[in-house]
Amino acid sequence: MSARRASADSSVGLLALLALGFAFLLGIYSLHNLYFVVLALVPAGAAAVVEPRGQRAAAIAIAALTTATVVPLVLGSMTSGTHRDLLTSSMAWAYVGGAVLCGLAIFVLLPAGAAWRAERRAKQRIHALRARQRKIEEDWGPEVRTTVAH
Amino acid sequence: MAVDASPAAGGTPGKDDPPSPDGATLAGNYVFSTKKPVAAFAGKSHTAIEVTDRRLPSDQIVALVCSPDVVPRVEAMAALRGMSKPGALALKDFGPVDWPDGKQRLAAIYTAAAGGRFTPTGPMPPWQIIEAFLKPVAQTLVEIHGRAVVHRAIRADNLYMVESGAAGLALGPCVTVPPGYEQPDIYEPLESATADPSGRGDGSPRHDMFALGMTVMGLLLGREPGAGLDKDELMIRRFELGSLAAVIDLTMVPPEIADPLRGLLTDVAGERWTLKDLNFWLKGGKVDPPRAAPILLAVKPFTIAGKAVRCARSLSYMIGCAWAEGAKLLRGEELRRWLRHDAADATAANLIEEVLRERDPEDGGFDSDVLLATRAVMALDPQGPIRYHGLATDPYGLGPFLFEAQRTPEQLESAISLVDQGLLQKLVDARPAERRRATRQAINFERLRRWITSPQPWEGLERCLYDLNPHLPCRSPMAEGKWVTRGSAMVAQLDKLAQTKANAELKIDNATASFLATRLEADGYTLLALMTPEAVEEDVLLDAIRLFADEQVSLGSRPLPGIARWCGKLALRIAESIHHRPTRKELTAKVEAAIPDGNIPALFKALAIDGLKDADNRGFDAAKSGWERLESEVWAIEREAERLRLNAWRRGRDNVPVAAGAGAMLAFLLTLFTDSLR
Repeated sequence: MSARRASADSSVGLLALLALGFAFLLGIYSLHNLYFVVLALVPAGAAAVVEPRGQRAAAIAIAALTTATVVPLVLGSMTSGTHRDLLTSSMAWAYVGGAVLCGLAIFVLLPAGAAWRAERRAKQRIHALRARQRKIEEDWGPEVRTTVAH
Repeated sequence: MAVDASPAAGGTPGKDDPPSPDGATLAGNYVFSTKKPVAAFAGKSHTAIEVTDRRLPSDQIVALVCSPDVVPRVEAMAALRGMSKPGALALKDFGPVDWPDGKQRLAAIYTAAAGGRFTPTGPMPPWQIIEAFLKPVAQTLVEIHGRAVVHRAIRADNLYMVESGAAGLALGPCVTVPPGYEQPDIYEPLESATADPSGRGDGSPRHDMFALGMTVMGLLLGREPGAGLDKDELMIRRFELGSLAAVIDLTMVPPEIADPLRGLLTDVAGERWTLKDLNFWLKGGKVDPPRAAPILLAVKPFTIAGKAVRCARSLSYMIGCAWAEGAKLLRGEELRRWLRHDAADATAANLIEEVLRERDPEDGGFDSDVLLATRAVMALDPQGPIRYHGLATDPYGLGPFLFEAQRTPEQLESAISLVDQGLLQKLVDARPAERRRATRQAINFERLRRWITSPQPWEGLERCLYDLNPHLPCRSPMAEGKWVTRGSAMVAQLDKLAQTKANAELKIDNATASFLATRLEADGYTLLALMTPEAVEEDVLLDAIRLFADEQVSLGSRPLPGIARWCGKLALRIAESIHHRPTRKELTAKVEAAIPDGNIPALFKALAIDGLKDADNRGFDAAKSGWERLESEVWAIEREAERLRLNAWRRGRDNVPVAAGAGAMLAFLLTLFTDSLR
């Protein structure tokens, strides 16, 4: 248990170092881009804060999608010849907003869909069992009904 | 062997005729004038009326209509019907007749003797007795005994003159009453003389030979033998002096007829002349006289109930008559001392001591004095009838005896107690082998004992009566007074009854149940199903249908719509007891198809499927468990639904990173692509 925690702690630490390294490099290149990235990841951070301990699904979903959206935008601004300020670009924020919403949607809809599907399968199974019971009653009469000790 | 009580029915009834009990009455062949009695043929227990044969109107015949209070001898009627001999009136026919009271009675049609009943006007000379009586009657008895019938009604006042003014005498009727029923005691040999008239039993040809001898004596004396003597005095004289010496001074016996009188009236049954002996003597032969040990009489008599007795058998007779006093004397020393010293009969004294040592049954319900007196009489005179609480019957005369006894509550109580004590079998066992074979039909006394006290509605006295009297008609109100003696005839009668609206439900009464139990050997469950169909299981109802189905076949498969309707209701109940609905539907259709045809075998066949009920029960049980299993599954799913939903939600949530990863890749590419377009 403690070994696993230690491993997780080291992974988080490594990730934090990478993030800091990436932020440092990004800050050297363009401080606006760094601010953009940091602000874009605020919803993910908020989700991480709000989520109960041990659960990071929302944070992961929002962060993954936000990161996947932010990275091409930042790389695009860095590699294109024209200067583009992402911090003030409504289009960029629209991408980020869409990514946050998509992450949020995945977080909300995927478990709900799975639960709905499980419930539907149970109802279908009960329907089939009731149909078999009706057939038995047709053949043997209602007296086959017994009180089941639940 | 079953004997149809209606031989005059004239073959099988027509196909369209309604079923009638035992075929039909005699009315088809004879015209009865119920209001025209014939005094010459009147009897104590039958009514003689005028009758005309439709086929032979000139035939001189008379109908003797049996009283409903006695059991007629139907087997004897069947055996003697059509016999025509000069020494006996000819029984032409017999069968039930409609009586003015609305019921049916059994009637025997006899040829009316032209000379009427013989009335002795004085002593008849021996030669005339031999010619006019002994010769024709002896020849006729050969025929009667050859037909396995014992006449049992040979007496001086039952003789008829075949031709008016002619000398020939003929024996009168013997079939309208039980054997020996109307015989005065003197005409009965000692072994049956002390029995009640109804309980004398079928007897053997030796009984007829004794009665023949006593009739000769009556003709010789011109009066009833022993007339003028007190009944008990006469019996004591017979036991002590012998039957012949009891009624006549031996020196007064005419020598020309002395041999047959000695031969016929000996009290030792084994020494009594047979018909062969008599006919040999009538042809001029010499027959050895009977060898009988002299009866040892005590010099000093013993007095019991005011009568002086001198030997053990006369003592036993008086103990049977005065059982209360007899029991007291048996317990005392004086009686045994008298037997040992005065009567010199140590064997009798020892027998009484053995009787005194016998233990009484523990279940009580009897008077120990009665039992003691009965046992003593049985020990001292095993040849005689059983004598119990003032009643006396031969074990083989129990049928008519019980029938007679049930008319009086006091006698009935004693008679039931007599059977219940198991004394009858003891008496039979105590008798010599040849007397045990006195009847061709063995009686199961132990079974009767069980029945007579049974609380089962189809047992009790009624069952004993039907069992002991094979031709006793059904006494149930359901027989409606018809002369119904056979089980199949009762079934036909029930069908007639069922066709009336008043009898929509099949419910037989106790008497009918006893009758069907005896005549059709129906078992208790079947009878219970017929008595209380609503209280029995369905598989028992099938037995009831089987009973009627078998009887319909024995009735020539004649439709029985009434009973079929009854049975149809039972059959529908059976069909409805089948759980499997398709099978139930199929059976119901078959049953409903069979009811209108009155076809009970078809009803039975529809339902009598081997293992149907078991298979149905097994299937039903399996269906019940199947239904229960499914219900449990449903319940389990319902119970688990929330957990499964939660698990699925959790799985979904756990898969969010994966889905987010995939979404991220898509978002990356999409952003890259759309951003590059700008």
